[in-house]
Amino acid sequence: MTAFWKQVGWVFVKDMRVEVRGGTTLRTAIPFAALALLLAPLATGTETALLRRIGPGMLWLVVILFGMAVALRPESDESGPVRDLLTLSGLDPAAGLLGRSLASAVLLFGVTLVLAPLMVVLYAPEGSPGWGWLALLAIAGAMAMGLLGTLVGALVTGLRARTALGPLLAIPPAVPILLATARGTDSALSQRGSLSWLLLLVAMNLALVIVGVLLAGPMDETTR
Amino acid sequence: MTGAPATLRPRPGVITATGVVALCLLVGGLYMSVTAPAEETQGEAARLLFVHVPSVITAYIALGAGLLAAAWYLIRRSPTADRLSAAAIEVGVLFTAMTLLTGMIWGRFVWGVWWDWGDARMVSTAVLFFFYVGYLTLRRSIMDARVRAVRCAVLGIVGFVQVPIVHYSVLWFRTLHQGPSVIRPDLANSTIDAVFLGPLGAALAAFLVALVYLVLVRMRIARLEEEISGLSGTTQPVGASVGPPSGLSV
Repeated sequence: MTAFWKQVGWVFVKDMRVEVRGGTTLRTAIPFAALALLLAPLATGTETALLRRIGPGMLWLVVILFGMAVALRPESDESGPVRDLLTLSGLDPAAGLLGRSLASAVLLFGVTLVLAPLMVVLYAPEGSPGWGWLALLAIAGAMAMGLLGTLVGALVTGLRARTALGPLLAIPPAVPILLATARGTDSALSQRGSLSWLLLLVAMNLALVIVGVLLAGPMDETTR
Repeated sequence: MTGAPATLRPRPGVITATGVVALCLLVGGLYMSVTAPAEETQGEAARLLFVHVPSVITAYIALGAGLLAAAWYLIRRSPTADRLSAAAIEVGVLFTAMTLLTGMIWGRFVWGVWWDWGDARMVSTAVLFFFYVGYLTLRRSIMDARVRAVRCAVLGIVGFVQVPIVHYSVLWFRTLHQGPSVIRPDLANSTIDAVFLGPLGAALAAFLVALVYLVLVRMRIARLEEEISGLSGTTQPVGASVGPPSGLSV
Protein backbone atom coordinates (compact mmCIF):
# COMPACT_ATOMS: atom_id res chain seq x y z
CA MET A 1 0.00 0.00 0.00
CA THR A 2 2.92 2.32 0.73
CA ALA A 3 4.25 1.68 -2.78
CA PHE A 4 0.85 2.67 -4.16
CA TRP A 5 0.88 6.03 -2.37
CA LYS A 6 4.50 6.58 -3.43
CA GLN A 7 3.37 6.18 -7.03
CA VAL A 8 0.54 8.66 -6.41
CA GLY A 9 3.13 11.09 -5.06
CA TRP A 10 5.46 10.58 -8.04
CA VAL A 11 2.74 11.28 -10.57
CA PHE A 12 1.61 14.31 -8.57
CA VAL A 13 5.16 15.71 -8.47
CA LYS A 14 5.64 14.99 -12.20
CA ASP A 15 2.44 16.88 -13.11
CA MET A 16 3.32 19.81 -10.87
CA ARG A 17 6.80 20.00 -12.42
CA VAL A 18 5.27 20.00 -15.90
CA GLU A 19 2.94 22.83 -14.80
CA VAL A 20 5.82 24.84 -13.30
CA ARG A 21 7.78 24.49 -16.56
CA GLY A 22 4.83 25.01 -18.94
CA GLY A 23 2.71 27.39 -16.87
CA THR A 24 -0.54 26.69 -18.73
CA THR A 25 -2.70 27.39 -15.67
CA LEU A 26 -0.91 30.52 -14.57
CA ARG A 27 -0.38 32.10 -17.97
CA THR A 28 -3.55 31.08 -19.79
CA ALA A 29 -6.38 29.73 -17.63
CA ILE A 30 -6.22 32.25 -14.76
CA PRO A 31 -6.03 35.43 -16.91
CA PHE A 32 -8.82 34.10 -19.16
CA ALA A 33 -11.01 33.25 -16.13
CA ALA A 34 -10.34 36.68 -14.60
CA LEU A 35 -11.39 38.27 -17.87
CA ALA A 36 -14.65 36.27 -17.78
CA LEU A 37 -15.37 37.57 -14.24
CA LEU A 38 -14.72 41.09 -15.49
CA LEU A 39 -16.94 40.79 -18.56
CA ALA A 40 -19.91 38.97 -16.99
CA PRO A 41 -21.43 42.12 -15.43
CA LEU A 42 -21.44 43.79 -18.83
CA ALA A 43 -23.80 41.03 -20.00
CA THR A 44 -25.98 40.71 -16.89
CA GLY A 45 -26.25 44.43 -16.05
CA THR A 46 -24.09 46.39 -13.62
CA GLU A 47 -26.64 47.14 -10.87
CA THR A 48 -24.82 46.82 -7.55
CA ALA A 49 -27.63 44.81 -5.90
CA LEU A 50 -27.66 42.29 -8.76
CA LEU A 51 -23.87 41.91 -8.75
CA ARG A 52 -23.81 41.42 -4.98
CA ARG A 53 -26.34 38.61 -5.35
CA ILE A 54 -24.76 36.77 -8.29
CA GLY A 55 -21.10 37.22 -7.26
CA PRO A 56 -20.51 33.88 -5.46
CA GLY A 57 -22.37 31.89 -8.12
CA MET A 58 -20.44 33.64 -10.88
CA LEU A 59 -17.14 32.83 -9.16
CA TRP A 60 -17.91 29.11 -9.04
CA LEU A 61 -19.32 29.05 -12.56
CA VAL A 62 -16.08 30.56 -13.85
CA VAL A 63 -13.95 28.26 -11.66
CA ILE A 64 -15.78 25.18 -12.94
CA LEU A 65 -15.75 26.17 -16.61
CA PHE A 66 -12.12 27.23 -16.63
CA GLY A 67 -11.19 24.59 -14.07
CA MET A 68 -12.20 21.93 -16.55
CA ALA A 69 -9.82 23.55 -19.03
CA VAL A 70 -7.12 23.21 -16.37
CA ALA A 71 -7.97 19.57 -15.63
CA LEU A 72 -8.03 18.82 -19.38
CA ARG A 73 -4.89 20.86 -20.17
CA PRO A 74 -2.81 19.44 -23.04
CA GLU A 75 0.03 18.45 -20.69
CA SER A 76 -2.30 16.03 -18.90
CA ASP A 77 -2.90 14.06 -22.11
CA GLU A 78 -0.70 11.07 -21.40
CA SER A 79 -0.90 9.24 -24.69
CA GLY A 80 2.14 8.12 -26.65
CA PRO A 81 5.67 8.01 -25.21
CA VAL A 82 4.75 9.37 -21.75
CA ARG A 83 2.14 6.64 -21.35
CA ASP A 84 4.59 3.97 -22.54
CA LEU A 85 7.23 5.14 -20.08
CA LEU A 86 4.78 5.13 -17.16
CA THR A 87 3.52 1.67 -18.12
CA LEU A 88 7.05 0.29 -18.38
CA SER A 89 7.82 1.80 -14.98
CA GLY A 90 5.10 -0.43 -13.52
CA LEU A 91 2.75 2.43 -12.60
CA ASP A 92 -0.54 1.27 -11.10
CA PRO A 93 -3.29 2.84 -13.28
CA ALA A 94 -5.31 3.80 -10.18
CA ALA A 95 -2.24 5.48 -8.63
CA GLY A 96 -1.67 7.38 -11.88
CA LEU A 97 -5.26 8.57 -11.93
CA LEU A 98 -5.20 9.67 -8.28
CA GLY A 99 -1.84 11.43 -8.72
CA ARG A 100 -3.07 13.34 -11.76
CA SER A 101 -6.32 14.20 -9.94
CA LEU A 102 -4.40 15.51 -6.95
CA ALA A 103 -2.24 17.71 -9.17
CA SER A 104 -5.32 19.08 -10.94
CA ALA A 105 -7.02 19.67 -7.57
CA VAL A 106 -4.05 21.71 -6.32
CA LEU A 107 -4.05 23.78 -9.51
CA LEU A 108 -7.81 24.33 -9.28
CA PHE A 109 -7.50 25.38 -5.65
CA GLY A 110 -4.87 27.87 -6.83
CA VAL A 111 -7.25 29.18 -9.49
CA THR A 112 -9.93 29.65 -6.81
CA LEU A 113 -7.51 31.44 -4.50
CA VAL A 114 -6.67 33.94 -7.24
CA LEU A 115 -10.23 34.47 -8.47
CA ALA A 116 -12.01 34.72 -5.09
CA PRO A 117 -10.46 38.09 -4.07
CA LEU A 118 -11.10 39.37 -7.58
CA MET A 119 -14.76 38.41 -7.25
CA VAL A 120 -14.95 40.21 -3.87
CA VAL A 121 -13.47 43.34 -5.44
CA LEU A 122 -15.64 43.30 -8.58
CA TYR A 123 -18.96 42.08 -7.16
CA ALA A 124 -18.80 43.04 -3.44
CA PRO A 125 -20.98 40.12 -2.26
CA GLU A 126 -23.28 40.60 0.72
CA GLY A 127 -22.51 39.18 4.15
CA SER A 128 -19.37 38.53 6.14
CA PRO A 129 -17.49 35.40 5.17
CA GLY A 130 -17.12 32.33 7.36
CA TRP A 131 -13.54 31.65 6.30
CA GLY A 132 -13.44 28.10 7.62
CA TRP A 133 -16.46 26.99 5.59
CA LEU A 134 -15.20 28.79 2.48
CA ALA A 135 -11.79 27.09 2.73
CA LEU A 136 -13.36 23.65 3.19
CA LEU A 137 -15.75 24.23 0.27
CA ALA A 138 -12.89 25.39 -1.96
CA ILE A 139 -10.74 22.36 -1.10
CA ALA A 140 -13.56 19.81 -1.49
CA GLY A 141 -14.76 21.50 -4.69
CA ALA A 142 -11.25 21.56 -6.19
CA MET A 143 -10.77 17.88 -5.36
CA ALA A 144 -14.08 16.91 -6.93
CA MET A 145 -13.35 18.93 -10.06
CA GLY A 146 -9.83 17.51 -10.24
CA LEU A 147 -11.12 13.94 -10.01
CA LEU A 148 -13.92 14.50 -12.51
CA GLY A 149 -11.67 16.33 -14.97
CA THR A 150 -9.01 13.61 -14.75
CA LEU A 151 -11.57 10.84 -15.26
CA VAL A 152 -13.00 12.59 -18.31
CA GLY A 153 -9.47 13.42 -19.49
CA ALA A 154 -8.70 9.69 -19.50
CA LEU A 155 -11.77 9.07 -21.66
CA VAL A 156 -10.74 11.63 -24.28
CA THR A 157 -6.99 10.96 -24.21
CA GLY A 158 -5.40 11.12 -27.64
CA LEU A 159 -8.55 12.35 -29.42
CA ARG A 160 -8.45 15.27 -31.84
CA ALA A 161 -11.73 16.56 -30.41
CA ARG A 162 -10.34 16.42 -26.85
CA THR A 163 -10.63 20.13 -26.04
CA ALA A 164 -14.26 20.38 -27.16
CA LEU A 165 -15.44 16.93 -26.14
CA GLY A 166 -13.85 16.98 -22.68
CA PRO A 167 -15.94 19.88 -21.32
CA LEU A 168 -19.09 18.46 -22.97
CA LEU A 169 -18.61 15.25 -20.98
CA ALA A 170 -17.34 16.87 -17.77
CA ILE A 171 -19.70 19.82 -17.28
CA PRO A 172 -23.05 17.94 -16.89
CA PRO A 173 -21.77 15.72 -14.03
CA ALA A 174 -20.16 18.84 -12.51
CA VAL A 175 -23.60 20.38 -11.86
CA PRO A 176 -23.75 19.03 -8.26
CA ILE A 177 -20.29 20.55 -7.64
CA LEU A 178 -21.50 23.91 -8.95
CA LEU A 179 -24.65 23.75 -6.81
CA ALA A 180 -22.78 22.69 -3.67
CA THR A 181 -20.00 25.26 -3.94
CA ALA A 182 -22.23 28.18 -4.98
CA ARG A 183 -25.02 27.49 -2.47
CA GLY A 184 -22.47 26.60 0.20
CA THR A 185 -20.72 29.93 -0.33
CA ASP A 186 -24.08 31.74 -0.07
CA SER A 187 -24.72 29.98 3.23
CA ALA A 188 -21.21 30.72 4.51
CA LEU A 189 -21.58 34.42 3.64
CA SER A 190 -24.84 34.62 5.57
CA GLN A 191 -23.29 32.82 8.58
CA ARG A 192 -25.70 29.87 8.24
CA GLY A 193 -23.04 27.17 7.96
CA SER A 194 -22.55 24.98 4.90
CA LEU A 195 -22.39 21.48 6.35
CA SER A 196 -24.99 19.89 4.04
CA TRP A 197 -23.30 21.29 0.92
CA LEU A 198 -19.89 20.22 2.19
CA LEU A 199 -21.21 16.70 2.82
CA LEU A 200 -22.54 16.60 -0.75
CA LEU A 201 -19.04 17.46 -2.01
CA VAL A 202 -17.44 14.85 0.24
CA ALA A 203 -19.90 12.21 -1.01
CA MET A 204 -19.16 13.19 -4.59
CA ASN A 205 -15.41 12.95 -3.96
CA LEU A 206 -15.83 9.48 -2.46
CA ALA A 207 -17.97 8.31 -5.38
CA LEU A 208 -15.46 9.66 -7.91
CA VAL A 209 -12.52 8.00 -6.12
CA ILE A 210 -14.33 4.65 -6.08
CA VAL A 211 -15.32 4.93 -9.75
CA GLY A 212 -11.82 6.07 -10.70
CA VAL A 213 -10.02 3.27 -8.85
CA LEU A 214 -12.40 0.61 -10.21
CA LEU A 215 -12.30 1.79 -13.83
CA ALA A 216 -8.70 3.06 -14.05
CA GLY A 217 -7.49 -0.33 -15.32
CA PRO A 218 -9.86 -0.68 -18.29
CA MET A 219 -9.34 3.01 -19.22
CA ASP A 220 -5.58 2.68 -18.98
CA GLU A 221 -5.47 -0.20 -21.46
CA THR A 222 -7.08 2.02 -24.12
CA THR A 223 -4.21 4.50 -24.04
CA ARG A 224 -1.49 1.94 -24.79
CA MET B 1 -11.33 -12.73 -20.00
CA THR B 2 -13.25 -15.81 -21.06
CA GLY B 3 -13.89 -17.78 -24.24
CA ALA B 4 -15.26 -16.62 -27.57
CA PRO B 5 -17.50 -13.58 -27.26
CA ALA B 6 -21.19 -14.26 -27.65
CA THR B 7 -22.97 -12.92 -30.71
CA LEU B 8 -26.64 -12.12 -31.07
CA ARG B 9 -28.12 -11.90 -34.53
CA PRO B 10 -31.89 -11.59 -34.56
CA ARG B 11 -33.40 -12.59 -37.89
CA PRO B 12 -34.69 -9.71 -40.05
CA GLY B 13 -38.15 -11.31 -39.84
CA VAL B 14 -38.12 -11.05 -36.05
CA ILE B 15 -37.13 -7.39 -36.26
CA THR B 16 -39.90 -6.67 -38.78
CA ALA B 17 -42.46 -8.51 -36.64
CA THR B 18 -41.39 -6.46 -33.61
CA GLY B 19 -41.83 -3.30 -35.66
CA VAL B 20 -45.33 -4.32 -36.75
CA VAL B 21 -46.34 -5.10 -33.16
CA ALA B 22 -44.90 -1.74 -32.03
CA LEU B 23 -46.86 0.08 -34.75
CA CYS B 24 -50.13 -1.67 -33.83
CA LEU B 25 -49.61 -0.88 -30.14
CA LEU B 26 -48.77 2.75 -30.96
CA VAL B 27 -52.00 3.10 -32.96
CA GLY B 28 -53.98 1.47 -30.13
CA GLY B 29 -52.30 3.64 -27.51
CA LEU B 30 -52.95 6.76 -29.56
CA TYR B 31 -56.64 5.85 -29.92
CA MET B 32 -57.01 5.24 -26.18
CA SER B 33 -55.20 8.50 -25.40
CA VAL B 34 -57.45 10.53 -27.71
CA THR B 35 -60.68 8.93 -26.46
CA ALA B 36 -59.82 9.18 -22.75
CA PRO B 37 -61.82 11.84 -20.84
CA ALA B 38 -60.23 15.26 -20.39
CA GLU B 39 -58.53 15.74 -17.03
CA GLU B 40 -60.43 17.86 -14.51
CA THR B 41 -57.84 20.62 -13.92
CA GLN B 42 -55.40 20.30 -16.82
CA GLY B 43 -57.99 19.76 -19.57
CA GLU B 44 -56.80 18.55 -22.96
CA ALA B 45 -53.14 19.28 -22.11
CA ALA B 46 -53.16 16.21 -19.87
CA ARG B 47 -53.19 14.02 -22.99
CA LEU B 48 -49.56 15.00 -23.51
CA LEU B 49 -48.77 13.01 -20.39
CA PHE B 50 -49.73 9.81 -22.25
CA VAL B 51 -46.61 10.47 -24.33
CA HIS B 52 -44.47 12.24 -21.72
CA VAL B 53 -44.66 9.64 -18.93
CA PRO B 54 -44.10 6.55 -21.14
CA SER B 55 -41.22 8.43 -22.84
CA VAL B 56 -39.38 9.00 -19.59
CA ILE B 57 -39.97 5.44 -18.33
CA THR B 58 -38.75 4.06 -21.67
CA ALA B 59 -35.70 6.34 -21.53
CA TYR B 60 -34.86 5.08 -18.02
CA ILE B 61 -35.15 1.48 -19.20
CA ALA B 62 -33.06 2.14 -22.34
CA LEU B 63 -30.30 3.87 -20.38
CA GLY B 64 -30.46 1.08 -17.78
CA ALA B 65 -30.05 -1.50 -20.56
CA GLY B 66 -27.11 0.55 -21.82
CA LEU B 67 -25.56 0.39 -18.34
CA LEU B 68 -26.00 -3.39 -18.03
CA ALA B 69 -24.65 -4.00 -21.52
CA ALA B 70 -21.66 -1.74 -20.80
CA ALA B 71 -20.86 -3.75 -17.65
CA TRP B 72 -21.33 -6.95 -19.69
CA TYR B 73 -18.83 -5.61 -22.23
CA LEU B 74 -16.20 -4.80 -19.60
CA ILE B 75 -16.56 -8.31 -18.12
CA ARG B 76 -16.83 -10.40 -21.30
CA ARG B 77 -15.51 -8.07 -24.06
CA SER B 78 -18.40 -9.14 -26.27
CA PRO B 79 -18.95 -7.00 -29.41
CA THR B 80 -22.67 -7.71 -29.08
CA ALA B 81 -22.64 -6.11 -25.63
CA ASP B 82 -20.94 -3.03 -27.04
CA ARG B 83 -23.48 -2.77 -29.86
CA LEU B 84 -26.37 -3.30 -27.43
CA SER B 85 -25.04 -0.66 -25.05
CA ALA B 86 -24.54 1.89 -27.85
CA ALA B 87 -27.92 1.17 -29.45
CA ALA B 88 -29.82 1.29 -26.14
CA ILE B 89 -28.19 4.58 -25.10
CA GLU B 90 -28.78 6.12 -28.53
CA VAL B 91 -32.47 5.23 -28.37
CA GLY B 92 -32.53 6.35 -24.73
CA VAL B 93 -31.30 9.78 -25.82
CA LEU B 94 -34.12 9.91 -28.37
CA PHE B 95 -36.74 9.16 -25.69
CA THR B 96 -35.10 11.64 -23.29
CA ALA B 97 -35.39 14.33 -25.98
CA MET B 98 -39.04 13.39 -26.46
CA THR B 99 -39.55 13.66 -22.68
CA LEU B 100 -38.06 17.15 -22.62
CA LEU B 101 -40.03 18.29 -25.63
CA THR B 102 -43.42 17.02 -24.43
CA GLY B 103 -42.68 18.30 -20.92
CA MET B 104 -41.96 21.78 -22.25
CA ILE B 105 -45.12 21.86 -24.34
CA TRP B 106 -47.17 20.59 -21.38
CA GLY B 107 -45.52 23.20 -19.14
CA ARG B 108 -46.45 25.97 -21.56
CA PHE B 109 -50.14 25.00 -21.34
CA VAL B 110 -50.34 24.19 -17.61
CA TRP B 111 -47.67 26.39 -15.97
CA GLY B 112 -47.67 29.14 -18.62
CA VAL B 113 -43.93 28.84 -19.35
CA TRP B 114 -41.84 26.68 -21.67
CA TRP B 115 -39.04 26.33 -19.12
CA ASP B 116 -38.95 26.70 -15.36
CA TRP B 117 -35.57 26.94 -13.61
CA GLY B 118 -37.18 26.07 -10.30
CA ASP B 119 -38.21 22.66 -11.61
CA ALA B 120 -35.48 20.26 -10.54
CA ARG B 121 -36.83 17.43 -12.72
CA MET B 122 -36.76 19.56 -15.86
CA VAL B 123 -33.25 20.91 -15.27
CA SER B 124 -31.79 17.53 -14.25
CA THR B 125 -33.35 15.87 -17.32
CA ALA B 126 -31.71 18.49 -19.56
CA VAL B 127 -28.36 17.82 -17.86
CA LEU B 128 -28.86 14.08 -18.38
CA PHE B 129 -29.69 14.68 -22.04
CA PHE B 130 -26.55 16.73 -22.69
CA PHE B 131 -24.37 14.20 -20.88
CA TYR B 132 -25.58 11.40 -23.13
CA VAL B 133 -25.23 13.62 -26.20
CA GLY B 134 -21.60 13.80 -25.11
CA TYR B 135 -21.56 9.99 -24.96
CA LEU B 136 -22.77 9.80 -28.57
CA THR B 137 -20.15 12.36 -29.62
CA LEU B 138 -17.41 10.39 -27.87
CA ARG B 139 -18.57 7.27 -29.65
CA ARG B 140 -18.20 8.95 -33.04
CA SER B 141 -14.83 10.49 -32.17
CA ILE B 142 -12.86 7.30 -31.56
CA MET B 143 -11.62 5.36 -34.58
CA ASP B 144 -10.29 2.24 -32.88
CA ALA B 145 -13.17 -0.19 -32.17
CA ARG B 146 -11.66 -1.66 -28.98
CA VAL B 147 -10.75 1.71 -27.48
CA ARG B 148 -14.18 3.08 -28.40
CA ALA B 149 -15.97 0.14 -26.79
CA VAL B 150 -14.01 0.31 -23.50
CA ARG B 151 -14.21 4.08 -23.06
CA CYS B 152 -17.90 4.24 -23.97
CA ALA B 153 -18.62 1.34 -21.60
CA VAL B 154 -16.98 3.29 -18.77
CA LEU B 155 -18.97 6.40 -19.66
CA GLY B 156 -22.20 4.40 -20.01
CA ILE B 157 -21.74 3.06 -16.48
CA VAL B 158 -20.76 6.38 -14.89
CA GLY B 159 -23.51 8.35 -16.65
CA PHE B 160 -26.34 6.18 -15.35
CA VAL B 161 -25.81 7.63 -11.86
CA GLN B 162 -27.81 10.61 -13.09
CA VAL B 163 -30.97 8.59 -13.78
CA PRO B 164 -31.99 8.05 -10.12
CA ILE B 165 -31.07 11.70 -9.47
CA VAL B 166 -33.50 12.77 -12.21
CA HIS B 167 -36.27 10.48 -10.96
CA TYR B 168 -35.99 11.33 -7.27
CA SER B 169 -35.25 15.04 -7.80
CA VAL B 170 -38.95 15.78 -7.30
CA LEU B 171 -38.74 14.22 -3.83
CA TRP B 172 -35.31 15.58 -2.85
CA PHE B 173 -35.84 19.21 -3.90
CA ARG B 174 -38.64 21.71 -3.43
CA THR B 175 -39.82 21.95 -7.03
CA LEU B 176 -42.71 22.93 -9.24
CA HIS B 177 -42.88 19.48 -10.87
CA GLN B 178 -45.45 17.13 -9.39
CA GLY B 179 -44.22 14.09 -7.49
CA PRO B 180 -44.13 10.63 -9.08
CA SER B 181 -47.61 9.24 -9.81
CA VAL B 182 -46.71 5.79 -11.10
CA ILE B 183 -43.15 4.76 -10.05
CA ARG B 184 -43.43 5.73 -6.39
CA PRO B 185 -41.53 4.52 -3.35
CA ASP B 186 -44.86 3.14 -2.11
CA LEU B 187 -45.78 1.26 -5.28
CA ALA B 188 -49.23 0.19 -4.07
CA ASN B 189 -50.47 3.77 -3.69
CA SER B 190 -50.51 5.10 -7.24
CA THR B 191 -51.99 8.60 -7.27
CA ILE B 192 -53.28 8.42 -10.83
CA ASP B 193 -57.02 7.99 -11.52
CA ALA B 194 -57.90 4.50 -12.78
CA VAL B 195 -59.53 5.92 -15.92
CA PHE B 196 -56.13 7.21 -17.10
CA LEU B 197 -54.20 4.06 -16.25
CA GLY B 198 -55.52 2.21 -19.35
CA PRO B 199 -54.26 4.69 -21.98
CA LEU B 200 -51.06 5.22 -20.02
CA GLY B 201 -50.42 1.47 -19.81
CA ALA B 202 -51.18 1.01 -23.52
CA ALA B 203 -48.84 3.86 -24.48
CA LEU B 204 -46.13 2.48 -22.20
CA ALA B 205 -46.44 -1.00 -23.75
CA ALA B 206 -46.24 0.54 -27.23
CA PHE B 207 -43.15 2.58 -26.33
CA LEU B 208 -41.41 -0.42 -24.77
CA VAL B 209 -41.96 -2.59 -27.85
CA ALA B 210 -40.84 0.36 -30.01
CA LEU B 211 -37.71 0.55 -27.86
CA VAL B 212 -36.96 -3.12 -28.51
CA TYR B 213 -37.56 -2.63 -32.24
CA LEU B 214 -35.36 0.47 -32.51
CA VAL B 215 -32.55 -1.17 -30.51
CA LEU B 216 -32.66 -4.28 -32.71
CA VAL B 217 -32.59 -2.17 -35.88
CA ARG B 218 -29.74 -0.01 -34.55
CA MET B 219 -27.74 -3.09 -33.52
CA ARG B 220 -28.22 -4.62 -36.97
CA ILE B 221 -27.06 -1.40 -38.66
CA ALA B 222 -24.03 -1.29 -36.35
CA ARG B 223 -23.11 -4.88 -37.18
CA LEU B 224 -23.47 -4.26 -40.91
CA GLU B 225 -21.36 -1.10 -40.64
CA GLU B 226 -18.67 -3.06 -38.81
CA GLU B 227 -18.74 -5.72 -41.53
CA ILE B 228 -18.38 -3.04 -44.22
CA SER B 229 -15.54 -1.42 -42.25
CA GLY B 230 -13.89 -4.84 -41.98
CA LEU B 231 -14.20 -5.43 -45.74
CA SER B 232 -12.86 -2.00 -46.67
CA GLY B 233 -10.11 -2.14 -44.03
CA THR B 234 -11.22 1.11 -42.39
CA THR B 235 -11.90 1.47 -38.68
CA GLN B 236 -14.35 4.35 -38.73
CA PRO B 237 -16.74 4.46 -35.80
CA VAL B 238 -20.13 2.86 -36.04
CA GLY B 239 -22.65 5.33 -37.40
CA ALA B 240 -19.96 7.72 -38.59
CA SER B 241 -20.54 7.19 -42.30
CA VAL B 242 -21.86 10.39 -43.86
CA GLY B 243 -22.22 9.25 -47.44
CA PRO B 244 -22.14 6.20 -49.68
CA PRO B 245 -18.84 4.37 -50.12
CA SER B 246 -16.80 5.73 -53.02
CA GLY B 247 -17.53 4.09 -56.38
CA LEU B 248 -21.25 3.78 -55.69
CA SER B 249 -23.84 6.12 -57.11
CA VAL B 250 -27.13 7.01 -55.52
